[in-house]
Amino acid sequence: MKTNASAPLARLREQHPAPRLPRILVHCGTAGNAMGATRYLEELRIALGDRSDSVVEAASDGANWAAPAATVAQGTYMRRFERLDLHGIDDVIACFNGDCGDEANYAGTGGRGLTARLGRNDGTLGDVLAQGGYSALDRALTSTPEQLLDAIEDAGFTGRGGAHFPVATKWRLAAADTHRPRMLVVNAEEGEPGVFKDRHLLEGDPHRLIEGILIAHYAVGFERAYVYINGQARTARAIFENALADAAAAEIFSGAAWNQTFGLKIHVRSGAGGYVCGEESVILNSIEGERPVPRYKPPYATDRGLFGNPTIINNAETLCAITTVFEKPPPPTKLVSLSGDVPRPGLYEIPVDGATTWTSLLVMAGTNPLDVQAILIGGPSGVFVMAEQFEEVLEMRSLGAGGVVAFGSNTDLSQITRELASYNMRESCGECTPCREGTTRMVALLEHPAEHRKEIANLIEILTEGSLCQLGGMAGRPIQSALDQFPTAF
Amino acid sequence: MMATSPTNENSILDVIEASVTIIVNGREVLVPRSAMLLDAVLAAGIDLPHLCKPESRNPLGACRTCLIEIEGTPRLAASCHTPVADGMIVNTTSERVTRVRRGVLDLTIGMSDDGRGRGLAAEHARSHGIEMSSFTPSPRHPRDESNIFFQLNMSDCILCGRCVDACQRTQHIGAIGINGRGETARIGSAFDSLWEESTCTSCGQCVSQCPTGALLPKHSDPATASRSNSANDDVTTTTCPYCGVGCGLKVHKSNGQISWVDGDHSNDSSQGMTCVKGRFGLEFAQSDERLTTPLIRRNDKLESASWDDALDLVAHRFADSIGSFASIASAKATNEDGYVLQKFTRAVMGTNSVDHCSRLCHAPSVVALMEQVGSGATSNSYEDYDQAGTLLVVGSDTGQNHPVVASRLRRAVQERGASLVVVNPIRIDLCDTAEVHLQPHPGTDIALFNAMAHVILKENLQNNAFIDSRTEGFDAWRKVVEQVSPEIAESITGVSAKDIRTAARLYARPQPGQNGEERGSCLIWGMGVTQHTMGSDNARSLINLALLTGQVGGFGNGISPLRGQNNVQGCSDSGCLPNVMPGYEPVDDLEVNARWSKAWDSDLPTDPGLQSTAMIERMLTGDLKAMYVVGENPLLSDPYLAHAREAFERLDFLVVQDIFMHETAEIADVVLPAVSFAEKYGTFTNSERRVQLVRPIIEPLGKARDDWAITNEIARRILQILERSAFGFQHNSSTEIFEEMTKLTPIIAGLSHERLEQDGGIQWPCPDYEHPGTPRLFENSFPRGRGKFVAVEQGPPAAELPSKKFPLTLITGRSLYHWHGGVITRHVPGLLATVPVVTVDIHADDAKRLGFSNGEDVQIASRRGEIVAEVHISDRMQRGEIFVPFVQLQGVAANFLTNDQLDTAAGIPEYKACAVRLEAPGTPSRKGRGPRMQRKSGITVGNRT
Ligand SMILES: Cc1cc2nc3c(=O)[nH]c(=O)nc-3n(C[C@H](O)[C@H](O)[C@H](O)COP(=O)(O)O)c2cc1C
Ligand code: SF4
Ligand code: SF4
Ligand code: SF4
Ligand code: FES
Repeated sequence: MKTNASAPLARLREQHPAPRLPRILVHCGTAGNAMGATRYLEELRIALGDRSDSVVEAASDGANWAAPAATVAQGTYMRRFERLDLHGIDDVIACFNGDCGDEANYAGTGGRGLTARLGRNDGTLGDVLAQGGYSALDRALTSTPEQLLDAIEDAGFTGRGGAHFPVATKWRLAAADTHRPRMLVVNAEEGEPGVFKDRHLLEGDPHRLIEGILIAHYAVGFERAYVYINGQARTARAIFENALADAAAAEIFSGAAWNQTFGLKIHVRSGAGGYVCGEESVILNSIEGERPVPRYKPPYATDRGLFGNPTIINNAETLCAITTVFEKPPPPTKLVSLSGDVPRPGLYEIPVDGATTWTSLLVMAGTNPLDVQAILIGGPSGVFVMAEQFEEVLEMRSLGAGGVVAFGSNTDLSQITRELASYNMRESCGECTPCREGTTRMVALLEHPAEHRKEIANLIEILTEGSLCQLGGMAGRPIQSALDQFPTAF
Repeated sequence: MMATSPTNENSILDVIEASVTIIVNGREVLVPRSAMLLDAVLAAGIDLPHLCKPESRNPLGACRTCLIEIEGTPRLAASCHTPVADGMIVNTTSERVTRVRRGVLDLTIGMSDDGRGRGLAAEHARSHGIEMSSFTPSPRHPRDESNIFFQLNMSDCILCGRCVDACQRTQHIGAIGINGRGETARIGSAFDSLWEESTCTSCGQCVSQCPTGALLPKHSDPATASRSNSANDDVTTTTCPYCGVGCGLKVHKSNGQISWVDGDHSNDSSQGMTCVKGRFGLEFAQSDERLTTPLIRRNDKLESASWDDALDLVAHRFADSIGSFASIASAKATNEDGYVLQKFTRAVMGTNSVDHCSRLCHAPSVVALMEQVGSGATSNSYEDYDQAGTLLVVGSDTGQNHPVVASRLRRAVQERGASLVVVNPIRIDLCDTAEVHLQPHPGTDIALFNAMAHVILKENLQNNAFIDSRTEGFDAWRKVVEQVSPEIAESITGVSAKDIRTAARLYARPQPGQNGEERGSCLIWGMGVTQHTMGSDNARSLINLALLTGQVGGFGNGISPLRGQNNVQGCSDSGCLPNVMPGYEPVDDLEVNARWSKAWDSDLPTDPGLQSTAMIERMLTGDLKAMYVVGENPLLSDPYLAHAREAFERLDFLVVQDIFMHETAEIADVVLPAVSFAEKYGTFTNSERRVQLVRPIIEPLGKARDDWAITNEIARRILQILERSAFGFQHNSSTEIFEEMTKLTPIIAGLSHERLEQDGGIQWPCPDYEHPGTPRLFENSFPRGRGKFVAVEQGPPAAELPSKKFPLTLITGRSLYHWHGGVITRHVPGLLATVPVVTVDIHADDAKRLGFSNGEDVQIASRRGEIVAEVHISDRMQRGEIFVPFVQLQGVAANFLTNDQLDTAAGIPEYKACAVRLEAPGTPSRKGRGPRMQRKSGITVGNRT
């Protein structure tokens, strides 16, 4: 959205002009490359001959099912061409030349929400600025930090890492402590199986995360920010670091572009890997060079976090979502990583507006809800939602980090439950007794669940009440859910 | 000076202010605001399990057996890490919390091989109604018995992590960790190797924390013992008899035997830590080899005798030797023992010739300190090391010789970001934690420190205000150091000019604290500075640095010569020095002489007596005919032993009083059996001037007696022979002796055994009963007024330089596993087994060049003798330098090689440098080179021949 740009933002846009249209964005990135997208990049460049520089590499736009895919950007609209491996590149070239066929597949430019630019930019600052990049920061700088916090609070933003703690409340806790240096940790570890949103955000729109970090910095005032990226997400890290360098070169990061001094130092770190490594206090230990195991709480990170300083830990999606705070009305959307027995697995930004149901989500993914017996929300810490509950309206809290797996009618749900228990056992860091010992005992008890109903119930209570961190604390959740939802399956 | 203690009203208000009330199981308890719920629960007298909570340290939160219910919160809370809040209502016995806690305990004991659990885990499970886990036992990996002193049995381990915390965050050694994850998690060394192959120093801190007995001393019974659970033992709190750190020990005894040692967490010097010797090295006290009866030489053999005969003989011969008598006091005995010995020497024998082993370690430090500031003691406290920004450690292998101070240094670096600068020709363990290691050639310290001063002046980093108001002699000194650029020093010392500059900057501008606050620099030194012919000058060049930067007298700075033996400080304080009375009053000061003469009802001599090294020369000239050697073994610790032996053999009458037979006792005319520290009541004074109580753990062995009681009795008998009044020697208890010495010695006037019983150790000066003691000297002025810069210049690095025939430099020192010459530690089987033979550390290139390989025997020869030692190729050494610890093992001792050249001012021998060569064992000795020391076969425990 180019509206209401301040003079500094306008100057930035001048210095970094928008790319020439039309052009073709080939969705490469981790998801696209896995499906051979780079080959089409080459093919299209050869086909366009002297206009080959209009073919550019972009990241995945979240539609993983569609890969390899390309999007043609024309004046005011974009159109995505899916499964180039099946359909070839002729339609893409035709559209580039002005004939885009069926309008139903058009997506307007300058869309709303945090995926508006996802994979539909070439990563250059000019492209990002042209598509509304840094306009939320620009806007934020015209209000006071307090007004900004109020706006975030009013919009009801909650953390997208799973626990949905109110963002403004957390930020205020740290902002209050002005005697000590404050720290920001961006959690992009994304260790939960079946969740891939943060990786998409980093690859497909890294400037949005940078913008979110700067907005948070304006509200709270950090000394340092650490961006903690999953160790395997090397492409994501590289793309993010490039964007960071661009933002620095353009004097966005320093604040000089707005004649301000932000004074924020930023460090990128790679994680050790493993589910528990996404737990916030494990990240703190990891950054401090300690053994990657959770810390007990209290004390909480907002009081004694990184190097003993007040620390805000936010999920990468949380900070990206904050950039939408000035959209009217702020869109309560959530990224859902959908996988399992559906024709169109991928990343979806869905409105959590009291109208979306599980059914609508499944339909979006191209499936007939009748073919799905249950979905699992929240992976190994999650719960099952059965077919008869698909008409229920989605709530933000119940979505956790947004991992959703659909199970077709042939799946043995009791087997899935056992696998989840084994997963938790394997991922337990071993620091505390209830989880280390309890998850192992749980796997054994689930061999013969019918005979051990009472012991299982006891063990769930011990895990939930006794564990040091929420890996153990939630390890009983899917089992309880299974016992509640399909007791006869055991 | 120190703040006065708050009045009573104040303190009550403070307590209320700092406290909160919480309700535990319906009962109100008042606890400090900073307390955790566990503290409150325990304060209410409720026995809540807390298996992973380390003693006096932050919680770990791992065992989850301390769960309680807090009213108004949905989840149960682990009480060990949940802070109290005013008005909190908590419950430890509700059905829900008991059920969950029982479940956690059930899982916990399910980890053991029989499902019953061990130690505290089993005990708490039983108190929750479970004898046997409801789960099939799932014990972990096997045992590790490779450590000599203790073993790990993983099937008893509950993975509470306390051992790891003890090793990593208390001792800061980091030998062990939790390896693996989840189900496969286990305790082990960093590379999962055997314990023995790790960096473990066998300090036993981990064992002391283990709640189950999975880590257990080897001689213990695993069925009943677990270290945190030895409630049935008889426990005595006392002070360690080994080094000058002065660790507080809680010594356990079961069935009459010393069975285990815990660190005393209330001791401010050691904060609950000990090293391997304090923990596992007390067995000597109950060794069968202890001397238990007096011995008299008859027909050239030492034979058992009655006390009466022995004392009479000693009294008569000493009475005949007035005028040609000297005594050596023991820095291992108590202040009370030392006080009576020097009093005897002065008041009965009429001579000031009483000295002790500090002559062989810190005499140069004392000479330099007396000259430059007017007091020979350590200026600061270990606490200052905790607070400093820079720690400059010179010539001290702290990890080996003062292990618990080393732990505090590592903690300062690792937890508080201090910079550690190590100056040592050897790459000591502490270098692993150091920011810079300066590795000068032995004997080139003066050039090094003068160059550091040069850099500080050149870069204008000196403390001008301090120099102006608190020092003198600056300008003259400045002219000397201005000549010594770092480049010149580099050519002399082998240390790069760059490193010299870095060290100088770090010392003059210490790292600020974590919140940007200014911090000081501490200067710590050991025998590497002093045991040289220019030892006093070395110390001077260091003290000049402290004066230049004003790093003395304040919080977090100061100067510390680290004291070697447990009571070197106290032995000096109580007057066992030839030139001063107790409390450092000069013997030749007539006012002092008059006062003490009156107090002791005798005419005291005013001529300073002989230093111990001078005594040797006087024996050879025949001027010194009788000696009384208490708790010392000069025929092992003196340099050029062949020479010393010749001198001692010339004596007419030698009395040795000790707990074991040793080289010197073997040639004595009378040997008197003394009790060990484990049978005494009295005081030791540690390196930070803290006077601490020593309490009896066992009954005296055989006929052994207190040192002070023996000396007292000899004095009485001599006075009777001389028909003088025995007025001054009516001592009946060490408490009474301490009363006398505190009454006469102003610096400790405020101390009494009673007060020490109540308050724990107190640091002198402590002039009166209200005075809290003094952690820091020289806060506002020096005893001599202004601190004095003394210009010193680098001379030849040693009296004996490497030559064609003797091309290597020998450095001697101590070994962690032995105590000095080893008289005591040879009687601790575990320590002896850890280091059974004398080794020689050598650089790989030298070994290769000379054709010796690791583990092979080699003969080391100097101009004075030769010994055989085992080659130990080590990256600790520089080329051209070798290291041999001076412990005597199997008859081999480094001091057969060392040079008896002395520092003129302090009379200390040059232990740290002499010229040697390596040759194949058995190479014939050249004429006049003294005896060859071949290793005796087998392991000799003790040394009786
Ligand atoms: C076992 C476990 C794994 C977690 N993994 C992640 C993760 O991969 N990414 C993430 O953002 N949060 C993860 N969390 C949640 C974080 O601890 C933390 O609550 C979150 O980063 C806070 O950010 P938010 O408030 O923005 O959601 C995990 C928590 C647990 C208990
Ligand atoms: S709950 Fe599990 S993952 Fe969390 S600390 Fe305990 S053992 Fe580790
Ligand atoms: S004995 Fe000391 S050094 Fe060895 S593992 Fe235990 S705590 Fe660490
Ligand atoms: S060995 Fe002992 S202290 Fe160490 S983890 Fe096991 S039970 Fe705890
Ligand atoms: S004592 Fe609280 S968790 Fe172990």
